[in-house]
Amino acid sequence: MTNEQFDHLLGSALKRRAEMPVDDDAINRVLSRIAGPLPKQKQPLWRLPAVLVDWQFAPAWPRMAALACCAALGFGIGIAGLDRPCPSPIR
Amino acid sequence: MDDSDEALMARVARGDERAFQLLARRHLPATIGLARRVLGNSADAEDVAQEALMRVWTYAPRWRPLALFRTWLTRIVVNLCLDRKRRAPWVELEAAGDIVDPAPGAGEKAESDERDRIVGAAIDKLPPRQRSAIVLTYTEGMSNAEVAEILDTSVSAVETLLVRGKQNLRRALGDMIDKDK
Repeated sequence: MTNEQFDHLLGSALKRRAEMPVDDDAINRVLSRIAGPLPKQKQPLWRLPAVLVDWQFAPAWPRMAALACCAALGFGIGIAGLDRPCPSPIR
Repeated sequence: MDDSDEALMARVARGDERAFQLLARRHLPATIGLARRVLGNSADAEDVAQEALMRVWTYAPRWRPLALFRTWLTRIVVNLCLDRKRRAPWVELEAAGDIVDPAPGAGEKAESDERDRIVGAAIDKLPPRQRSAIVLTYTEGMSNAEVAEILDTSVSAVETLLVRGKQNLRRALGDMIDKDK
């Protein structure tokens, strides 16, 4: 038997095997098994950097204002010298 | 509404269970058939099909449409079959053969069935990767490049698998081939 004849024999035997229909019972069994509550999906790992890159500051203005107030208060305390300890009366 | 595999996968990635059921129903017969041909066992094939579809659901948000959905699913199924083969011994498909049909022309059909059964049994005995390459090439009609992608190897490695697989089959089917001469 030549290689071509063998290929043909193999191909036709496998094709007939492939044509064997999958019975509906098997399909329904698998469908019923996957119909239940499905597990949690795994989220893509590249979503985290995307979230950081797309970070919007727009809704954070109150926080920025609070930060600016804290900075101004700190500057005032520093200039006024309120952060320095009082000189000891006993020296 | 676009109900292509890729569109359904986009919906599955967003957690749409209805789209998943639709996709599963569409691909289940081919998935069970492929698993059955690679594993040679119907019960295991159902388990593999179920596990493959659960993986599709779980990893859908990570799927990117770089290749066809069918190629991705085939890769999952073949990998699961190879994993299963590594764990468990081979079980031959339909070792008992078919019942002979008494209808006219049944003789020829019985002969052809018997030949298919012998070829099937010989394929069942091939090493898992050779067997996967032969099944994907001959029954799924895939190109060597597609088979290489599914088996995560090079095209030349697939060609080697096919050549060795066919050599092993020729050796195993020696008697039957001699009879046909």
